[in-house]
Amino acid sequence: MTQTSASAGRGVQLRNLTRVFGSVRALDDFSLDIAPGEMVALLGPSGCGKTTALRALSGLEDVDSGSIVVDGEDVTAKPANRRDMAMVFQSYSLFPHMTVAGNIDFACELRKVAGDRRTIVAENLELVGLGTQADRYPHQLSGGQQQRVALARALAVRPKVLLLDEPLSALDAKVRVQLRDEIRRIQQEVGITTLFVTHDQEEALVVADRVGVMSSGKLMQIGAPADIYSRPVTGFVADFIGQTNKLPGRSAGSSASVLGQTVPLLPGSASGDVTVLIRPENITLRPAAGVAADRAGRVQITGFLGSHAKVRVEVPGGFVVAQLGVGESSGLAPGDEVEVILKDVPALAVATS
Amino acid sequence: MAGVNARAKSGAKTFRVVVIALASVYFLLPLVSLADFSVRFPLTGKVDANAWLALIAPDDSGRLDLLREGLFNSLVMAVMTVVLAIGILLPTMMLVRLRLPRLSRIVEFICLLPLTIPAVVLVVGLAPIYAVISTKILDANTIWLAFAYVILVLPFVYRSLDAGLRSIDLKTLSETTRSFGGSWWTVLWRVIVPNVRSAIVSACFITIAVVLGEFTFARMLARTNLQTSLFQINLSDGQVAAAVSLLCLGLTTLLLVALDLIVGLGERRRARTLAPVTVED
Amino acid sequence: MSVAPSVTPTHSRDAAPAASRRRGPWLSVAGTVPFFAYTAIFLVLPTLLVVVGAFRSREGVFTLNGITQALSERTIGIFINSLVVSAVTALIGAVAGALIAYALATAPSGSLMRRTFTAFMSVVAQFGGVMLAFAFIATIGINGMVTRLMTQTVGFSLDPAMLSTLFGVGVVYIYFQIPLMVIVFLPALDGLKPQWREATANLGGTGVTYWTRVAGPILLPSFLGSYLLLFANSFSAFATAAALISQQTIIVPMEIESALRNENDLGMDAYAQALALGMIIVVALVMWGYAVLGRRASRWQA
Repeated sequence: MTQTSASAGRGVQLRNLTRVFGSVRALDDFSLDIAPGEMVALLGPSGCGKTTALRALSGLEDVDSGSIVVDGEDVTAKPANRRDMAMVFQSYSLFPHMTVAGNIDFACELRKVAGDRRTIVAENLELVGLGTQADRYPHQLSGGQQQRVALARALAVRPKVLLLDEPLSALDAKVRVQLRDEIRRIQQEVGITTLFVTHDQEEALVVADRVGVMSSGKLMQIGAPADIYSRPVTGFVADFIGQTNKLPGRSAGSSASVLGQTVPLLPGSASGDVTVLIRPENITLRPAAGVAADRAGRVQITGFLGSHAKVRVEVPGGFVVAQLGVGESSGLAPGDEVEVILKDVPALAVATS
Repeated sequence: MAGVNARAKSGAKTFRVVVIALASVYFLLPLVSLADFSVRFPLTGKVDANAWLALIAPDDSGRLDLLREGLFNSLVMAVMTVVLAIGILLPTMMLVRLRLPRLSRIVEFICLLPLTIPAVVLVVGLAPIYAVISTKILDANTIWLAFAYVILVLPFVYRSLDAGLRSIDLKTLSETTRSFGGSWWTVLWRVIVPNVRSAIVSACFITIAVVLGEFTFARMLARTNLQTSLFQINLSDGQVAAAVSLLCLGLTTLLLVALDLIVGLGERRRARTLAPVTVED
Repeated sequence: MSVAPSVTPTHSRDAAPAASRRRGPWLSVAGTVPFFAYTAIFLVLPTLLVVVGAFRSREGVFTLNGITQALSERTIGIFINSLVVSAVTALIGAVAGALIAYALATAPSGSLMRRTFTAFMSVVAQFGGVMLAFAFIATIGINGMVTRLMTQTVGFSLDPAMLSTLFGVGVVYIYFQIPLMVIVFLPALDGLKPQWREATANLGGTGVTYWTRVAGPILLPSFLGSYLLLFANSFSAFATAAALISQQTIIVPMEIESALRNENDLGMDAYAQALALGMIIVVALVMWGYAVLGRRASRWQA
């Protein structure tokens, strides 16, 4: 890996981290590699350990066992203020008694950043689009602007790793969407290794190079967003990411019989009596009365969402939600009889509990 | 492995324990000494509970008369002050909130003014007023000091009631009651008061604590209340004075602790009522 | 689906409210009369009497006698005593109280120790005046417990007359200044967000950096404001000193009492009021400073 600029990222290896609080295993033999310049998102429900992992990397949290290697150096025993990383918190990142420029200048002073500080401050503020706000105080800025300043401050010290602890969770929905694209753009422009923690799966999928799904201190699966979405390895991941329908079926290992049809299965699927997890966009509905009972459905609710529609259909064994294009759904109304067709897309089957 | 953060945390804990322990010793020492003094006769070092017994035994010598008078006066004044202060302030605050919002700043200013005017200063201005009250309007009885005491407790009662009124939707509650045909009396007594009960109780407790501990007004205006009589008794019987002081302290401690508990309970109950119930789907 | 709006005759409903609307505001204002009348008599009037009385002789004639007396060397000395003892006890109380408050603030939230000790502090803060004086006399007075113990064990005898001096008064004042500081300053410490400490560490700062560059500056307005509150509290105190000292008047409140008692002495006209006016000016200035600092502090905590 070549380091083309001083701010190019470094590699991170978290190996077998364990952290126990009383009876809770916040991190359970957790391992993760982040390549230089890569943005990895850690995703999971509250209490899954994603924040603990981030804070362990930053040094703000100790680990009971395991090692943390950054840029080839083992930093596990190093205190937080000597790890040469930078963090953006969910809220209250900025020092309230300093101006925007003051916050960044202070950071540069602490880290002894080389170069003319005024220029560095100006450059990084420009980078996040707040060049004109240098002399304002944090309480005079909106939530989104404050987080941008926090980001500018983090980048100004040219850290080896950028740590983002749910930076968008405290913001309004619209600002969140705007800012996450900005963060992605800036991260790629600067090329900095980044760990991004969030509980919002849409955010993780949109923003990251790879997404790691965590639960109970363990890393369930890590991979590119598309992989995580289409090829989940456990029921938890399939359920947590996106929406999924659960249908009873009979599996023969590489395919299963569901709703009277044959559906290919993903590797790692269970056999025998299973629950098959099928995504809404992999279901098609055809208005048809009098089809075979095992694939007949009755429409319960239709919901129009602008670019697509979601239709809830009662089927043998429960119900499914199908996602259809506007044209496909226009004729459907509650009470209609439809044929439920499952597309030929591999799905995950888990043992029925 | 014991990390850097764990070490820092245990260092903070040691500091905390040491500081609180030292502070506890410092603050308890005078109280312990007071108790010691009340049972140990200073000149001979003889230890007995005479001072305490004198408080409950029937008093023939008359030496505790002054103390009893002072205590009685203070208790009566405490009740009077509570009734007057809340009786004047609560309806006024309600009225201002519901009908005259522009007056709220003036009312607040007046209520917080006594914080800026020391009691010694106020009493200089009250002296001529009380001279008139003693001669032309009422008499020179100590209990009329309660009128001045209301002013002393005004800031505390105001803040307490203000917090209580803020936590309920006064406008909606009163409009609902009125729309069902209730009079203003009904609104105040049957709707508002029950909902600000903990604020009223807090106001009562702190008023009682202030009135029982008041010295300046009584002394400067030559009246007899608990503190001035304590002062006098000390000159003749220091041990009794010490015992009574401890009792008074114990009582005000109980009052303030009860106040803390009530405020805590009130807050928890309020939080339960106001928290929106979410339906999990 | 919409329902046709029901046509309600509004006229009859408006008639009654219109009449009471005319009466309403006046009735409401009348309802506030008890409050304003009461405070006018027992709060505003006394204050006016003090301010005006400082310039008014017994006969009702304008006089500067009171002011002149208040500016005499002796009285200025008494004012200085009051100011010094207030400033010093406020400082000691502020520093000690801040340390204790910090110890409490670092306790895990909801800790029993913190709740108990904070309640204890609010009780001790109320403990003042005559009873506190007795307690200190019982501790370090002539026959005090600590006096006795020290003579018996270490052989060191405390000066028994200490409590009757300005110094002694100050020592006793500190006892209720510290808890007041704890109560008033603790919220400010609680308002320090953990993220600020973490961000400082994250950016390479040490503990010293945090306290000198971040927490210190952020807490300064609250600390100064609390100091001023303690100053005003000490300056206004009367009962404690009155219980400790009998012959002299070493602080302003005691001089005021003496002036009130000597009302028969014509030369003392307006003197008490002038002294009181002086006190009002000092306390008003201090409380104004407190308010200004409070606004600054709350801006940053938001």
